Amino acid sequence: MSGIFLKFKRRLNAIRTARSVLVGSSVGLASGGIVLILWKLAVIDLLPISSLYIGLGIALIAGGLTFLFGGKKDKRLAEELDSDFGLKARVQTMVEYMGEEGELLTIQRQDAEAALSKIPLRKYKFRHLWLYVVILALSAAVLAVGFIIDDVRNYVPPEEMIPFELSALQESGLNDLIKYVETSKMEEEFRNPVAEELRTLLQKLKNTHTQPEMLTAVNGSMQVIKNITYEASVTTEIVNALWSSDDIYFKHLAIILDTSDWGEPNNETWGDFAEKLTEYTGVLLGEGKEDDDGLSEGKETLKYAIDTTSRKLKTTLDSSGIPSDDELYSAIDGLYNGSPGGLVSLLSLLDYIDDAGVRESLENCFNINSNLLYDAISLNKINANVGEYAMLRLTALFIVPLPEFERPGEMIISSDKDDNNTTDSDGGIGGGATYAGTDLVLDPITGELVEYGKLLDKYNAIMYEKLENGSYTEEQKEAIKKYFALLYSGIKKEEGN
Amino acid sequence: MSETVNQINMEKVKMFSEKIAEIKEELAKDVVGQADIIDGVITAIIAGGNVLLEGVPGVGKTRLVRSLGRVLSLPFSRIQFTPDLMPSDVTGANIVEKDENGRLETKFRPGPIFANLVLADEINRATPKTQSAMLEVMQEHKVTVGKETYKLSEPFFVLATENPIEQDGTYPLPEAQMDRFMFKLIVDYPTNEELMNIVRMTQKTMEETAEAVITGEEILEMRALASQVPICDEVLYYAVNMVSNTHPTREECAPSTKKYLRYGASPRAAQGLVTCAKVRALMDGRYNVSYEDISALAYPILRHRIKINYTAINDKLTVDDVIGLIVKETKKGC
Repeated sequence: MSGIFLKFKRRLNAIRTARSVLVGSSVGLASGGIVLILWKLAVIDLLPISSLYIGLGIALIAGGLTFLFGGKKDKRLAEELDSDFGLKARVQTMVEYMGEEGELLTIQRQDAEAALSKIPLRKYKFRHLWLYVVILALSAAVLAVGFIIDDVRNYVPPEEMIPFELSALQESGLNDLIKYVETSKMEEEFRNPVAEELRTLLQKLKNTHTQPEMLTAVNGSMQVIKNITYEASVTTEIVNALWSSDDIYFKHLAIILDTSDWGEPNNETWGDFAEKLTEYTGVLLGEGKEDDDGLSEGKETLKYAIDTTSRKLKTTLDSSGIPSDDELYSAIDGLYNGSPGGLVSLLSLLDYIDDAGVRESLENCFNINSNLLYDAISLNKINANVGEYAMLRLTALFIVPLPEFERPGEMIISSDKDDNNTTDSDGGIGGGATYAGTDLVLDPITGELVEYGKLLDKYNAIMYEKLENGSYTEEQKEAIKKYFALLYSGIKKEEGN
Repeated sequence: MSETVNQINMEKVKMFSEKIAEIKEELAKDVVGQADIIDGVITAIIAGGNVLLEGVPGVGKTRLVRSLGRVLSLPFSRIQFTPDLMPSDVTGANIVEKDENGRLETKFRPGPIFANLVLADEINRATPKTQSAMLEVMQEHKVTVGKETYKLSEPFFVLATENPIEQDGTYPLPEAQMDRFMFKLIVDYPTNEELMNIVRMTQKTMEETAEAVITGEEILEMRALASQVPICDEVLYYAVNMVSNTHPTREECAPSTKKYLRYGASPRAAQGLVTCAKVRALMDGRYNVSYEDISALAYPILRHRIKINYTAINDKLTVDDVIGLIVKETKKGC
């Protein structure tokens, strides 16, 4: 094949490659853009990244096909060269008779090569390059549109500019809430910021005249309160960790910690706890048991329970984000590692199981460490509960949706207004949910699911027995009775009752 | 191909170009202007075809042919066609003669057709019978008289003339005979400048001064060389397609054909087109046939082979106008 013709062929291939790239890019950009636009308009439901994959895939296919079918045979190229450069069929004739011999064929070939060599290679141009560039630009524009337009899923119709004016009831309710927070048992570091936020909100709302502005202000304040009292929500994590233990000791501890109200801890609640402890101790010491297997089984059970729960507590503590100088942190850490002063930790209990002093060790551990834990958690629970109460009141006053809380479990619906109010129907066991009398809850002693009403009866009976047989002050007796009355009043009334 | 053979071929090509130039130069001594006509005639002669020259009286048709005869140094004869011309007056006849012994014998006396270059002047004035006597001669280059066939020597050309006016007493050439002319060339009235040159020249002398520059053998060599010029398939297809496009009965014919033509050209037109295109290319200094060669030769090749209809006449279109439309409507390439 003629050398000069081959040069034009190579140039043709270069143009072909460039054309394939342009076509592939254009098609890919346009496809990606269209997919993105359709996703933004919620016509299709793919991941946004799919537009990239689809665009890329289609680009490769389009470019590949263009390259595959965009080639030209020698004759076609020859025809183009003759036509474009006025060579009067010289190249076509040369290509057709290439390899043949004849009187004039050699001369013709030389003539054709001479004519072709006079034409600069660059003059064989990419036809309609401008059109490809324009199409590429348009395709890029389609993709750009895909990025620019908003996702209809995020579209929030502009709220009608409904006028708003702070009503007397709302102002009064907000003032009551501020007072409530200020007089609550919330720790100062939480109480002051929450109260301040509520005061700021009140001032803002006095100068707010549209519904959207009100919503923005109230939601903003709820977010601030939530952020302030966030730390306290780790209480639930601790409680859940204890609750998830296989051992009744920790389950009972979880209940006690979680059902604490804002009053003092009630040591008599440990009555049943102590009985079970006695039973376990008996098992460990072999009392009432004739076979070694039973003894071993009890030991293993306790070992497992202590080990599992202690690890869960430790994990929860480490991931809670609680500062190490926090009382809660200290209490839990003490429970896990042992308090300063020589008190036995959960971990070390594992070594004491075969020892006759296990009872004392357990008692010390649970009574002291858990009291510390109780105190610390209680305080945090107060912080969380007050914060949550404040947000609930705001939702009720201004009819706004409740923001999502990170705390697991159901919302505690607190008793309204003050600590001593026993007439409200809120309250209950566990996460503060209001249960129906027939709802099933886990009996921490037996580990069985029982109706809440029946479990309450059981505890109530135990409580009265202990009160009768124990030595409590009248004040303590009243507090305990009130507490149980509160629990009973919290049972959700069924229809018709 | 070896260098020597290539060298020989280059010399042949060079000789071809030189001879063409010489012929034109000599003819220019006797014929003023008419460059296209001269090119056409030379092309047809080298291609081995006959030419029909149509033009009004006095434009130099006969002078051109006579000069051509001298330049080509070929035996030349002129036949003036008249209505009373008999076929035997053209071809020759058997006559009875006494030999030296006094015995009567039949002898063939060749007619004026027995030359290399024959000028058939005003061919349309002869009767169809006489015209048909030319058919065999023009196509096959032989004459049959009685049972005897006499071959004419090569190269053999017939250059006929006809007058487009004064149609009274004339016999239009039949299509079969028209088809045997390679070209029909229209000799136009000279321009003022050409006329001035003609008058100046003829005021000095009416004699024709062109001299012989080429022999019959050389013409045959040039013909052989021209036949070697390659033509690619696309151009060949273009030529064939152009001729096919003149047939209004074909479904794929050109739109103008359907509208303006009564009938189209024969396959001889396609053969003539390619053969003459090769000659034209070589005359132009090229070594292959191009699309332009085909489209340029479409007019002399087709104008006497196609027939326009009344629609064309109504639209005041000439044959050449219709040919121009067909050329435009014929697609290039395969």
